[in-house]
Amino acid sequence: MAAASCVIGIGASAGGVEALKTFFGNMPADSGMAFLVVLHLSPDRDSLLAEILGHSTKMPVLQAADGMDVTGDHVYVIAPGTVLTYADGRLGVRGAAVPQRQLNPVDSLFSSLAVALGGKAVGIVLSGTGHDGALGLKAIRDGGGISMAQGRDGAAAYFDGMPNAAIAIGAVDMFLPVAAMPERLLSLLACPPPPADDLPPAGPVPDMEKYRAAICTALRNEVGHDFSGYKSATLFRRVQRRMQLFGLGIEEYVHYLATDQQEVALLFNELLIGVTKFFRDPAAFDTVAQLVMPLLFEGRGADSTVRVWVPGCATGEEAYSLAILLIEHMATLKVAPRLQVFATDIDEAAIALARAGRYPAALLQDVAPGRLQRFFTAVEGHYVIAKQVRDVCTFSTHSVIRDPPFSRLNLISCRNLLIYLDSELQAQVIPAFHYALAPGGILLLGSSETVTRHDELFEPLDKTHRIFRRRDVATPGPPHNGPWRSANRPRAVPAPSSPAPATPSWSRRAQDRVLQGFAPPFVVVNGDGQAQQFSARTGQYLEPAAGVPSRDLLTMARPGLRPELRAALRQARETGRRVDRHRVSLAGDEAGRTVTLTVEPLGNEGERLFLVVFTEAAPVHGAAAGEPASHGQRDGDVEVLEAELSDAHQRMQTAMEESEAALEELTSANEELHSVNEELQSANEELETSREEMQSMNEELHTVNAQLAGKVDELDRANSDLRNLFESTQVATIILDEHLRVRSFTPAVTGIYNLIQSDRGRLLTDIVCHVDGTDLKVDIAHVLETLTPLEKRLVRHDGSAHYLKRVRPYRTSNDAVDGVVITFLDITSVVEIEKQQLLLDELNHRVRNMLAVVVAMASQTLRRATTLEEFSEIFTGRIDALAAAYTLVARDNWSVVSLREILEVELRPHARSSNTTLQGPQVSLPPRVALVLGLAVHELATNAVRHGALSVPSGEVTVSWSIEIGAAGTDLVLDWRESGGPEVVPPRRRGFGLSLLERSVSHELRGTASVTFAPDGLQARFSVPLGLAGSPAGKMVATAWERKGG
Amino acid sequence: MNDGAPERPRILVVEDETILAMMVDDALRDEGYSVVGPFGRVDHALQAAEQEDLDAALLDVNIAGEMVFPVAEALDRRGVPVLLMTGYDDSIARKEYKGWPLLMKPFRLTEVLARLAAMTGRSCGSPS
Repeated sequence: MAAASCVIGIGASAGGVEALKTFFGNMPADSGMAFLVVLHLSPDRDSLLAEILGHSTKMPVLQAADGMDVTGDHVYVIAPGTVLTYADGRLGVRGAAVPQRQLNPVDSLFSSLAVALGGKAVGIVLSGTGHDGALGLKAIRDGGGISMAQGRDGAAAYFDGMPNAAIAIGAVDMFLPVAAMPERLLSLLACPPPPADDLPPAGPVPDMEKYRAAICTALRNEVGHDFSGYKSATLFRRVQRRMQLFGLGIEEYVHYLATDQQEVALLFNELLIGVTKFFRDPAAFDTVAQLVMPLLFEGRGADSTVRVWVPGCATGEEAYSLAILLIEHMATLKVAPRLQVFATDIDEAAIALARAGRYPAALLQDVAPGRLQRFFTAVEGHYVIAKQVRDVCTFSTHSVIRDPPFSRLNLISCRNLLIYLDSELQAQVIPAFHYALAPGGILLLGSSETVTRHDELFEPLDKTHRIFRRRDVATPGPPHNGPWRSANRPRAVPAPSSPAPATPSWSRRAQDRVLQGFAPPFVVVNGDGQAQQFSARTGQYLEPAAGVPSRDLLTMARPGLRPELRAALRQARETGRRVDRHRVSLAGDEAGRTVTLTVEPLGNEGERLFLVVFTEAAPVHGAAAGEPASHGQRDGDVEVLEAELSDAHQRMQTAMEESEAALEELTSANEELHSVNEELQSANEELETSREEMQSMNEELHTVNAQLAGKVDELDRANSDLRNLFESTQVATIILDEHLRVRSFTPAVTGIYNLIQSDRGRLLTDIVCHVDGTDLKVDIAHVLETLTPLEKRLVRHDGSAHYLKRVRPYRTSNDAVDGVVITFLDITSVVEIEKQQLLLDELNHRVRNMLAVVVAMASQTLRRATTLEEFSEIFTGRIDALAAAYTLVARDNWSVVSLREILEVELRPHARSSNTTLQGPQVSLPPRVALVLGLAVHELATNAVRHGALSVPSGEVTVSWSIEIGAAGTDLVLDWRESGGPEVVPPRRRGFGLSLLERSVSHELRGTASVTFAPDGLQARFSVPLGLAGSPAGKMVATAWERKGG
Repeated sequence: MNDGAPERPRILVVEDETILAMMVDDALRDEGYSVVGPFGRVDHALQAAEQEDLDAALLDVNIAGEMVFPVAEALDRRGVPVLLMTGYDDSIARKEYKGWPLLMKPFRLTEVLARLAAMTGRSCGSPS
């Protein structure tokens, strides 16, 4: 087992199973690489991932276990509910208490790879939602390793959340379809690119110099940033890394760069590697800590707030670093003001990562241990930012170009944003920062950035570390015309500078002087009465109102002016004409001056503006002194004036009350809005959390679904196998439910039961069958009761086949009994063989019996024979008689034998038909009776030939028989009568033949036999019961007789 | 031959084949036994087995289609030793008639006599 030539970390989530299958389907099994695969799995379920991937690759696929050696050409997949890491050629697997997804297991793996392998680490992010893996890839790439993300290739379900998050934070070297990744990996392995932070390449730099212009032009055109001032070595090192990632020469690469916008963006990212990092550029942070922090907190009480803005915060490292510095500094203060760090970025994915505040350990290697311990919590290979720091920071998506800036800020840190903006946009953003900063606010910029074009707005505090202080001057251009107003135009064309072409500057200055020094004071307001511009010397008419600063002209106007001003403005608004109000007195003005108010609409496109001019009139009393008038006229004037005065007072009073009431309402409305806003904020956060939960749930579902699909495929295959088996088996099988309804059956059953497909669900007892099915119900009930199989033999109704019927309980997968399985095995051939065996046994038995009889016959004959000749003759005769009877019996297969035939056969050797007479009805005898009678007749005939009627030619034998039916049954009565023979002399002793005859009839046939030695001839009479009650032979005979006789 | 002699062992013979029965009958009598039977019917044999004073029994298994086992069991209960005779093949017979001493047909008379002698405690061949 060879150690891995290269260790590849792969992270995926929703849609990842398909992507992994494609990946391993294209990856040769002998690449020498080892693959560590992390998928978001449900912790409660066993994972089939290893099995599923095993189908796609020839490499062994193992579920990762702690301490497992990582071997080349092996795939290791994460176990559910664990975190997989890599160190020293071994796997680390730890169980996790919290759901896997919350742990960002992909980040953990990548982070461990970045730490363990540095420039040799390779990380791949495949399909998935959320942003797990993005920071891990960043760690790999910042460490000089290679990072890849899945691009859309249309081949599989694809979720671009994870790849896009990685791309958004600039962590991806290559964006490829999955199917193309293995090939690229192989070529990279053969020719690894230099790590990003290596020494300058040994390659021929001068060669590249030729292309520098082309590269810089492409960058400038595409991302609007000029890298022509960049150090050549750095630029080329980065370019060369990109070239080698693609395996291209410089010329090809430049061509590629010109045709592929994405590559330009990726090269740009490459050039910006490492710009977001905790406490990046420690010297700068030290200076900020020593120089800026005291300034920020100078003279602040506990109820004031230090406001900080980090635009372009990316994944939040900078914002958190600053927050940590602020908190650290605050710890040294007696009185701590509140802190507020606004961190913004236009990228949602980056903001989401920043909000999570959870970073793979590899990204925090440069953070001092003390800070790590104080401001972070280590969780499963990650560091989570402490709540104390997190609470200070507010993250939101925001564009410095498009959206209005924050305001009243004390510090803006913009150390890695300006590089993304071209000089024109920079020129717009810097004033915006000036506007947003409170007086004395501090601006931090990145090391390559400067405000030299805006020296009038900012003064440098520390040139080396680009720390600037806001100059307390007006921001050029009203803020609402600022760059952020140019919505949807990220790269705004700068507005053409206001035309002042023909006017010489001195003339302009003269006009300004006149305006400042001699013209009456004026204010430009909009339709709402909001002041847009003030001239000089408006102070005697206007003063800032107490409370929140306001630009409302009516609020600022001195009390005496308000009613007239309000009326005049309204009139001008309504009529669109110039309105003059003469002799408006200023309340509280001891000099008794009056003014003429002129409100004149200004021709302006869009917003309506009004010019309000205050023209001072001569004091009233001054006018009186200079212009003597009649007393009466004066009195009249006084009366008129007093009346006007009291009138004005009243109006003023009313207006003031109204305004106060309105103000109160406004205040309370404002408070309500504040609380509503807070509620919305918390609701929003809850929504965010539940959205994340849903997302992770969705992903787990996806994974489970993919696994399920694999399982379903297997089931389908197994099902099809089973179906084929079912269709092709010759064993007739019926599956019934417990109510005897047909659930399924094999085709072979149709030979026994007339079943067709539509019979499923019908009762089996309703189906026509060709075997005896009467006891089926009983059998099934028995099997269901005892749960033991039952076997029975059945014969087809037509006798053509025998079956072995087996009834077994049907057991479901959880071992519950749900019906029965009936099988019919065709055992016709077995039964035939059994029958033959039985016949053979019976034959053997008969032969043995017969031999025993022959032996006994020989022994008995020998006992009584006097000479060997006599023995031979008698014995042969008996054997012949026996054989003849047997022949008859055997002829009809041991069924019935005709009595007449027996008699004929037995008499034939001894008599001629001329001297024997047979008289009687047709009677059929069972074999045994036939054998005994045959032997008896033989003995009689032998005796007749030797001593009786047949010993002389004139002798005759008459055999007659009849059937007598009595109460006890049917009897055969047979008479043997000899006549015409020599005189009969009764023997002294009964011979063996006759005693055998008598005994066998009584012994074997339970009949009677009597032999009488009448003088004119021997007579014998047998009476043999044929119809003995309970004797099957008798019954059969009787039946046969009745049939034949009748 | 003196059938009535009380010292003669009494042997029950059940055999439906007359000639065989006669042969056995003759042979046993010649050998000095007293023969009870021979019986050709199970019911008769059973009656004798239960009532007669017996020393041993020689039974054919299949008596005109009936099995002789009730007789054998009755004898067994009385402690009378039994020897079964059968024409069935040895392997079948052993299976079916388990436990009973068996004599396979066709047999030699000397074998019957030797087995009976052993069962009744007589020495073979005496008194002749």
